[in-house]
Amino acid sequence: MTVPPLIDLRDVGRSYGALNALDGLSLAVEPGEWVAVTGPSGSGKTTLLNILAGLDRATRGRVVVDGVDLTSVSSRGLALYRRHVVGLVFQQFHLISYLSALDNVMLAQYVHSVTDRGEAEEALRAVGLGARLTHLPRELSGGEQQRVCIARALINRPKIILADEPTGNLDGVNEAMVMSLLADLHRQGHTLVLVTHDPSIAARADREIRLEHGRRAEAAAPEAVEQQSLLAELWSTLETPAGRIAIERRGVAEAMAAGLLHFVDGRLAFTDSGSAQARDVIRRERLAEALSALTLARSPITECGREEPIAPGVVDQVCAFLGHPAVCPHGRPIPRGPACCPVG
Amino acid sequence: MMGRLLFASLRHRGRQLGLIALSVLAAAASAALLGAFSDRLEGGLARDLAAFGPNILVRAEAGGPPLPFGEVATVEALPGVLAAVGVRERPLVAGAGAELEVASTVDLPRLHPAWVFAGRWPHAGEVVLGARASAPDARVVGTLTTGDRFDAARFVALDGAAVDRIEVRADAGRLAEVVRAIAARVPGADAAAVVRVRAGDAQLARRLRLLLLGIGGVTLALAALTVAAASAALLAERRVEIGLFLALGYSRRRVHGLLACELLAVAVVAALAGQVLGEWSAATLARRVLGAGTFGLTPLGAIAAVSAAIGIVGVAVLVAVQRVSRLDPASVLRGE
Repeated sequence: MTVPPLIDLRDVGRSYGALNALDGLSLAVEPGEWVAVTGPSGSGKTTLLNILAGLDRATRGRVVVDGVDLTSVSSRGLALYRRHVVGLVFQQFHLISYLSALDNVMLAQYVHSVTDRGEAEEALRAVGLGARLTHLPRELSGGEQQRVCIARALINRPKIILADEPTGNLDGVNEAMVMSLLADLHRQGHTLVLVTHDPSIAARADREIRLEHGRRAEAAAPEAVEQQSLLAELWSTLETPAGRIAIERRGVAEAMAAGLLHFVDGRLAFTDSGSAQARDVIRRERLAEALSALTLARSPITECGREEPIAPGVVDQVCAFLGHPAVCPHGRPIPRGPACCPVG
Repeated sequence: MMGRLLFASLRHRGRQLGLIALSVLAAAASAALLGAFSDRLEGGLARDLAAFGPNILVRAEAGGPPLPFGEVATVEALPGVLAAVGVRERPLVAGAGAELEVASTVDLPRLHPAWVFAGRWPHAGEVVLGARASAPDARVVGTLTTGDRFDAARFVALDGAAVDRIEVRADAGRLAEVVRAIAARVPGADAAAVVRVRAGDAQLARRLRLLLLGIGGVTLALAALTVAAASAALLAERRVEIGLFLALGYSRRRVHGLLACELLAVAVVAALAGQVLGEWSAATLARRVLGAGTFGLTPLGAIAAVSAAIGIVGVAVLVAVQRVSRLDPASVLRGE
């Protein structure tokens, strides 16, 4: 028996007068999947997210989420759906300015069922804000506010997290932290639908849905992401004293064909170009681990190299924020970047 | 959580909610003033209008003997009687002229304060002269200007003989009762309320009430407008917050409830303060206008203040319901 998709959109349209924000969109998202929705401004990304959030209704087609037909459910039914099925993360955070971080999280509990202070505190600790419980939003940085927003979205254990440009208002360091949190949620089995215009963020998702004029366009090929992952793995292999790259390993032949690997003294090694690329990926990956361990006050992931790499555009900023660390939380060296101070 | 949310919101929006509270307070105070003053008006006005002449005249029955002097005291002792004066009139020159001799048990100006009296009321052998009266042989101890036929009178002390009439000022609300009591207690007397004065009392009271109603109505209308404007501004400022509540899964009815609770909390405090202010103003006004009035909370004042507060807050809640019903959370949260 096949499991029905958690999100099932069939030929969905949304018109505002003569304007078609969505035009015959079909999409299925499986439980636990991370889908990034990308596209230029006005392509219908936010409209799609609003329909999935039960904040807007499709004017044609069928939208079924977790068995609820959002096109026919009553307004009250939609409110119940928002309360129980989805957690929303906004670009502008939308925290209540006169409530503390803790109360902002408890506000979502209050609408759902009963408030549980301990649980709300735990949710804030999980996003690294254990020491900021009583702070008002204006006393928190943008990244911290977004983390409160994430804690609020998660507090009622929704089946789906919908995030609309969650890093759009954040600097590089905070962007990395928030993305690390979202990656964690994904690993824990949450279903994520994330709207973004940033390709490097979209690349971290399982799947990218690109919209243009309210319709699906071809998404970027995933080969580049796979290649990055392979280069990082090979770098880690070669770091160990007896580490060797087996030619029969999946993707190695393609990397050789791309000029990233070659034979040196009968053994496979990185070319200059391959080394530079692998070094870059490893650096971003290990900085992400260091950042998570430091700022989110959580234990590092047991296995080194499982953290999602920081986006290339913010890597130097994060490195500087962390004080140019030499090793990751697992003790493995972090390759230095051009902006890092000379060792010693 | 609801309490914390309410308290935090009230604290955060002190200025805007303060304006609403002030408007409700003004409305509640006006209403309480109106209610409480009306409550005092009947008795107070009656006491005050005692200054404008007797409202009951007691005469001997047609064809009967004059009223004995002692009946003046009998009438004065009746419940509801504020003052009673026995009066006897005689022409100064029998069968000719307009000059009168008016004898009364006590000073007659007590019932006719519109008269201008200087000096003191006469004892035996003394006289008070009307403005146009001729000079007597007796000792003059005062002068009296009445503006009517009594200007040609000489006023003397009543010597204990029978009286022509007893002029009575009674509680305006108990005229009929007093008239019946006089008929029962004074044999051979014909007591009748002075209709002109009684109608004048009622008309004055009606006019005062209309004036107060007008002032109260204008205050209520202004307060309602202020509250409606302040509520609209407050809700415009809170659009994102309300959008967030809806996005989190609050139903519109629940959001209406939250806003209504907030406004109601403000209104309750403002209504209580308004009632105290209104009652105090009513007491002050009663002292100034009616000559008597003590501060105290009256049921009518409380009902009026609470009704005004509910009415005004009702306007604010209606504005809130209308705005929230029209609000689209998706566009608000997008910043449109």
